[in-house]
Amino acid sequence: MATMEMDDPKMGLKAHWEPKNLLSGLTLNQILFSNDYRHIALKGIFTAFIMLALGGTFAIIFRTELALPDVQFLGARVYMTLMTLHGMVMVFGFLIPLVVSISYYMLPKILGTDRLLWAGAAQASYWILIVAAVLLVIGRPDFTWTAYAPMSLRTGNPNIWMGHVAIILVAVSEFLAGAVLFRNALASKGGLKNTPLMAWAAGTIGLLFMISVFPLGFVGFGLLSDWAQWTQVAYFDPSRGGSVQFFLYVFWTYGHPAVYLPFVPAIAIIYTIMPRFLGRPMWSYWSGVVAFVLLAIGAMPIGPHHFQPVYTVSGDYQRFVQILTMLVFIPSVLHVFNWISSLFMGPIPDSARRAIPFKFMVFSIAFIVYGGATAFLNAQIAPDSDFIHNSYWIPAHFHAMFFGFSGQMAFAGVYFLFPYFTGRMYNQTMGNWHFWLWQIGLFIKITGMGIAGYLYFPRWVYDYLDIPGWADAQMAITIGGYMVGLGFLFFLVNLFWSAKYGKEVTDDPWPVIHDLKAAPAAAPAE
Amino acid sequence: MLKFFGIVGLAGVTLTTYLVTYGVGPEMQLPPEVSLLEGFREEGAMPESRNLEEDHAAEDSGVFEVPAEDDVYLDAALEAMGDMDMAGMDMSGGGDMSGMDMSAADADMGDMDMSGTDSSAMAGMDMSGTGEAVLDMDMDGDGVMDMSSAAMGNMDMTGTNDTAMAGMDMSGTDSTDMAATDGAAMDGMAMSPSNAAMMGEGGLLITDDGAFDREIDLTMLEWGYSDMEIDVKMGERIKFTVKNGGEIPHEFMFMTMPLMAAANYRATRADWNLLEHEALFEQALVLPGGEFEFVLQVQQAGSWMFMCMLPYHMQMGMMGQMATEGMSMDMEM
Repeated sequence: MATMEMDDPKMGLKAHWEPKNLLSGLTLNQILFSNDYRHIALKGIFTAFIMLALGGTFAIIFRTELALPDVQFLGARVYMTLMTLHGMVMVFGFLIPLVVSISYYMLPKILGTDRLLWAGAAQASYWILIVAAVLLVIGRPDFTWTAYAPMSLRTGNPNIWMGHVAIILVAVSEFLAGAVLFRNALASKGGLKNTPLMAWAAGTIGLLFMISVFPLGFVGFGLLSDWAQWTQVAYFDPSRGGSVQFFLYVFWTYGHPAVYLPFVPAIAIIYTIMPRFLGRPMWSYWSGVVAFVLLAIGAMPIGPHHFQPVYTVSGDYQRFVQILTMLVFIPSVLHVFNWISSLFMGPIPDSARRAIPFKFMVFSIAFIVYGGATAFLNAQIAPDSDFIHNSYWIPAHFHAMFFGFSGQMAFAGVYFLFPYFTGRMYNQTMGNWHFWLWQIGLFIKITGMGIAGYLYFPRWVYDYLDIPGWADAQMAITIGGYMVGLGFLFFLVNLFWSAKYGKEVTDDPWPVIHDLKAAPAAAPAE
Repeated sequence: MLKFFGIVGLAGVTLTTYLVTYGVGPEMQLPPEVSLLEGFREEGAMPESRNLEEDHAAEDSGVFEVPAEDDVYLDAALEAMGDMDMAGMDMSGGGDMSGMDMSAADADMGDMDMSGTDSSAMAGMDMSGTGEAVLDMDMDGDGVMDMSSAAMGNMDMTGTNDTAMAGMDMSGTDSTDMAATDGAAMDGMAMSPSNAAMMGEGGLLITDDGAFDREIDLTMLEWGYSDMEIDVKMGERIKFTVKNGGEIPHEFMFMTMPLMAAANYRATRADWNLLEHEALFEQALVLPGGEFEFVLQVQQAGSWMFMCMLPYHMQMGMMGQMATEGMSMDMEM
């Protein structure tokens, strides 16, 4: 097996990766408005953590509410608001910005440009998202993150227009972020054969961002227009001649590509850090390229598989969508086997085995397999119309994908970048606590949701009957949720403590050492 | 930078959490008293209301008025539910019971093992289940299965408590066994979504008209049928004239016993529907005074249920039985 130099574009151009403390000595103006790509990226990363804390707090509150049947301390309205904000904040505020910010940080280094092209657009994207988040929190939508009309038009909340405007702003923000990613991917000088896989990911997902947000923007505009009744025209409101089916098609034309928006950059992080830890290139470069392109193409037309399986889509079209959906498994499976092959085709260095980002990466691969297996079931019409649709099965699936895979992979990226932006190494013990609490907590949580879904537990309910199995599953999910929350606290403490007191790193923080016992002196700083 | 984001984050999370929970206040949970768009409305630029107007015509005409007897039946049902316990289950008493193998999991619709009179048939009808599913078909304690009270009291499709949910578990609590029944029933019916008996399935052949041996006039009313038990013979052709003699709309359908088990199985899993699209025969929405006819040929020995599929009508007692000799369950009112 050929071992590439770290300076190879596919391996990440080591020259640009220097551990350095970027956090201190910044003025407020620099923190907020600096166009340096590292500052933009770090700002995005830390803001995403705030969003995670926010969405996590919401989750902890309503998980406590759901832990026991027939016990309430929240009103239905507040519960629905928390649930809606949890979904929106986690996806639009935490997950997508975090992976995009990590891409902002890594892309210029990997491509050797050492600057983010169109940094102004990235800056604007960030601030528009902040405005959207503030509007969202003040508007307090309670119509679930999918904002189905006419439910999202008749909330009786006079501030709900803020939610609709926030949807438009999210679309604008994502468009700008996509444009930045796409532009920077084009900056690659590697041509078709030597462009790093992260740039392929940024190019394809940037394009997908830019195309798919138009329906989202239209959804926001249509809802706002229908709610305000500016004109006689109603887009979605059925009582005034609008069409709910039209809403479904428009929303999910964005909605399905949307799930790839955090997914693909997270995949790109694997392609970036895995060769660094293993000290050898990925098993297959072209498999990754083909998978990125196929995923971008396949993402657009399969939105209708999110509809309720019967009554909304005619039989033949439903089957057509099912087949298209199953075709999308192909690129995902190409990715996963590429990673697994890369891991198995040679020894895993000791240095990688003990590195927290590598551990997160391996377990997020496990979670993508978990989520992918449930996805295979979801695509089938028969189980979908039985126990899958609108039951807890679906949260099990997308928590495995969004959090178990994308979220954890983003944290792998953050741990990987930590020595580069602080100049210090994180605390290994706290990192391990974070790691294990998340793996166990997430597994309990996701499996609990799967079991609840299999028992027909419906989504979006704030209280439930003590039907055998339901309460146990809910209690398990709650316990898993608490563990995840605790793990995040460990991470935060680690972040603040290690940024100040961690062991200093001056050289390459991730050296590849196959036998740590033989060469203890070369052990990475921890 | 970390300090900045730490402070902003802590403050932001605290403030936001307060805002969306306690900060909401009770008044925010209600719709606004005056629409913000009132001015626009006065100009006639938009409809009066953002919501669909409520149509009270149906209520005003009295069609949906609840008869006074309802309260009596509901009270009786609630009382019966209160009495339910394990001891209330009397499996040994009625000789009628032994003849009933409701769990009939064999795929052949309508070919139910109803003939056995020995104890093995009893075992087939393991109504006690695991013990959690308390089941009390024998509400009167006289050892005779009382379908009408079971229907009223136990078959609570809304599932307000465990016992009620398990109430009409006709075929044990072994869910795999039930699933088999369910699947078999569905398979058998796959050809025709509704009037499957037109195809001669489920042991009945139902046609619009034709020659017949005898006539049965059946009147639907609140709450029941004029004839709750119909005895038929193998091969007999009967002309049914079903009339709605009640004051509210009713419906009529025939179900096989396995289908009833399947419906019940779904009910116990909070996925309740009556599987009316798998019914052997169905006539939807017969208005008061309306009537319809059909000719039915009994093709094989067995028993069938007929009922109104409007919500709660069956629970209120609109469920009758048609059976060949020796195949009937005791359904005394």
